[in-house]
Amino acid sequence: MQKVTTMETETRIETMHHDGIRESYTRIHHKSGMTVCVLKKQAAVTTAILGVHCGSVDRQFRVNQTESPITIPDGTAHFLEHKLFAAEEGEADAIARFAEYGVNADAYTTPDMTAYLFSATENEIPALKILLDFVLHPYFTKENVARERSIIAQEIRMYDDTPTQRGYYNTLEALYHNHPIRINVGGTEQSIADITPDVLYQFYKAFYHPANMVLTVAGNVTPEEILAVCDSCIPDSFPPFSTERIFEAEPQTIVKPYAEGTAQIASPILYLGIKDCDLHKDPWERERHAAAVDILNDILFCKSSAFYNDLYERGLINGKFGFEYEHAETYAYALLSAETEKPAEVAAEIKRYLSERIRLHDITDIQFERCRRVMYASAVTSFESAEDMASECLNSAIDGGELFRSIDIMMAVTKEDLFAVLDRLYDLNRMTVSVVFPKQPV
Amino acid sequence: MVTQTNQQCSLGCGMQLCIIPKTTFKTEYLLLTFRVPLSIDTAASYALLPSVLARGSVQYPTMQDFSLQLDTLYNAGIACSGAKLGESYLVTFQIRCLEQQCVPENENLLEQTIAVLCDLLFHPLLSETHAFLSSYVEQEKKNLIDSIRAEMNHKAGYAIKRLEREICRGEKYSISARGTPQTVAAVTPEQLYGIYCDMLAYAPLDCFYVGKQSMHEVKALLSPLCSALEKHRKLPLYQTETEVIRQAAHDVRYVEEAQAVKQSRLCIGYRSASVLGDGDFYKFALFNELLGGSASSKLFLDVREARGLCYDCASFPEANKGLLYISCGIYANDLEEAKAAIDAQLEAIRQGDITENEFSVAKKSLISGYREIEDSASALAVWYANRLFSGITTSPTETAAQVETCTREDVIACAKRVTEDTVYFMRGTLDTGEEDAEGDDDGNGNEN
Repeated sequence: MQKVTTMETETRIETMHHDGIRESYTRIHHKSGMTVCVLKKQAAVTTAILGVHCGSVDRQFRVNQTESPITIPDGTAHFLEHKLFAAEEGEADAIARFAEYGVNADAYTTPDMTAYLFSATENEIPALKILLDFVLHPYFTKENVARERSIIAQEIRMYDDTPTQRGYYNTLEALYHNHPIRINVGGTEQSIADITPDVLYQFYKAFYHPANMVLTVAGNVTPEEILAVCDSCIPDSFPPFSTERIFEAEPQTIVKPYAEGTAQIASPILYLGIKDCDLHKDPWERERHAAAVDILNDILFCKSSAFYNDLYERGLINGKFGFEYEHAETYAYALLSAETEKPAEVAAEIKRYLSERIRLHDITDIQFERCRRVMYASAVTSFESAEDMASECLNSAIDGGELFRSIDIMMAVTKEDLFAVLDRLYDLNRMTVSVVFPKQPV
Repeated sequence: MVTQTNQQCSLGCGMQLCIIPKTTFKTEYLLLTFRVPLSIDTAASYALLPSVLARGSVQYPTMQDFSLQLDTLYNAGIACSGAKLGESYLVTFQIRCLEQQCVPENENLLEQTIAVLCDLLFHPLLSETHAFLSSYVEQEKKNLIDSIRAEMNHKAGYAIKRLEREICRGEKYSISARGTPQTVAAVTPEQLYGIYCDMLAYAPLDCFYVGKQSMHEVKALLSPLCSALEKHRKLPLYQTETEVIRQAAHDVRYVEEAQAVKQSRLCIGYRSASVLGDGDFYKFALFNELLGGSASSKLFLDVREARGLCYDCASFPEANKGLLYISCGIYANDLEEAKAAIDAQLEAIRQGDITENEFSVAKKSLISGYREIEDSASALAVWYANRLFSGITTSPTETAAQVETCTREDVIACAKRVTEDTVYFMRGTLDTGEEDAEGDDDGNGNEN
């Protein structure tokens, strides 16, 4: 998976246009290696998101082929996200610098991405300069790292007390033997105890490179002004990006078909996880596969499906029933969730339904057309607000994709594509059932 | 960006329409609110009503028929729900659909979606005895009871709900807006049908439209709904009022409960002495912003950043009843330090210990927050829905301009009027301090 990206010498600018949804944006391949997307929109708020392609799954890596592999404590990416806002003693930290311009800033970490963002109703350009400046200039000390540790410990505890989080991670632990997707994004109180300024710098140097970043800005801005800020704020001094991510081999099997836990909740929460071993290196292949899974899941499980309504009318599920599909280069899984008093029965119903559907291949043209309408509407409405636009565009680009092409891929999915997924994805041997039961009163 | 001003007009029979013109959105949004009194006798029924109506109508007898129709209308949404507003209860119906120009066939989806809503609202499935179908009612009762019980799943929200009930003991506001498991269980299909008829007969209906169509056009779109409602109308309509207690009438109450959680929650409730109807609520909003409204607020910077006591520490007002809440998640051992730190920050504002920078940052943050509302159709509709009822029609942008004129003295005066009423502490029994090791019974799973 070695990928060396050399610095481009010149900036390239493309205008992207989509006829179907009548939207366009400018895509800048900045000479630093950064991909910059500018979506001009008349709106009160301008949103900018700087995404770094690294997250909680990046726990083992090599900075280049000659160096030996480094393993970092769980929760490092998230810890870094918190600490990047810090400034030298006596200086205003990044939050305070944004606030002086009346701008709110935020950040989040996912398994594959760390994102820093702001929304501004004025002073967009000064805010963008701060965003690039603080992300590109880290400052960690022993003291500020120690203080942050107790804040993050409280954050971890807050999530530990969130029953859906517990069920979610129990499911991933049951699906994955080795892949770090099974690890909590924030790490544990134990693992973050090992995070030091050195660890943070090590991780930072490995992944915080313009060629490993995507900036999207949506709102009252022009590509010219954004390009000028990038030219002035992104240093030329970066060596070529050559970090290699290392993942232990992950078997195709699951760890166990059943997991359970308890939490102080009212009704049990059921998760049914399906490990998808149909992984694709090529981002377009991955998009095509994911689009087919999304459409198929929608047809099978949405509120207008016969299955959902049958379970609802029989009182097996309430309105809290959901499904999602997550995918990346090294992992992919589908997840169904329900709040139900009869988790075993609901899990059995889902399995029975999937086996039957696989045998029958029954998806009608009407169902398919209806679903395409839903997909079309969701593509159009993703351009409703600057924040949605910026984040949709980022999510496509960070993975090597492109938003409009993703929409085209989604609209080009055929019924045959769905059947192919049906046959391969819903393998009962790669499903795990995870239940969180109410804790008995102490 | 020029914002066009909103317009209101009466549709007769206790129906009002408020148009919030927006030309930049790809969707149209319509919010309908039926306002009924908050009462212990009817709370469960009104909470149940929207979900029973959403189960089926004469034209769309099942949820599946209803969902299929909405999917065909390009994923149009109809959401039926309800919420407390001060001491009244709003039964709400929201519609969102693609705006005509974004629809490939150039169809007017709003008209068709309103037709679906009218069917749900005016032609529910009834039994021969003029009651809702008991199968639907019984099932939605069970779902509502489950959902009330599940409030405890979300610890921070649950702690605030508990605080709210403790502060307002003996006041209408303490009534659980969704009823209790017992009151929900007692509702019969006949009673529910009676409540439904009462709502159509007596509840003032406010409609909020966000999109590009004109007042004239929206009135025409709503006319089938208005004429259907007129047939049910009786007089006099409900009048609802909220009792505002501007000062805590007793020493601070302290309520503590144990829960098997890892993080303890400290929640403090105050009488804020400020409500939306006062007309200058933005001054209080600025005080709140400075105290605990953002990541640059006094509480965040002191309790979290300087002391490292918590991850979340924030203050937020209840603007119709006149309450202020502070909430943070801490180690139980830090209770005293956290409480003292919070008290000190509030006292600092009272004493005028506010730097120029703190003041200007709070102002900018609040102004920006108000301006952002202009980008969200639902946030705009809710903005007016919360205010119209108190006779306030200023837009978020206009309110932002009012904030600009606020002085430090305004903020200090707001802080001085705030009185502490009740402290609610959720003591986490799994919270054993910083050295806490993993290994309780969670998350380890069992082989099947």
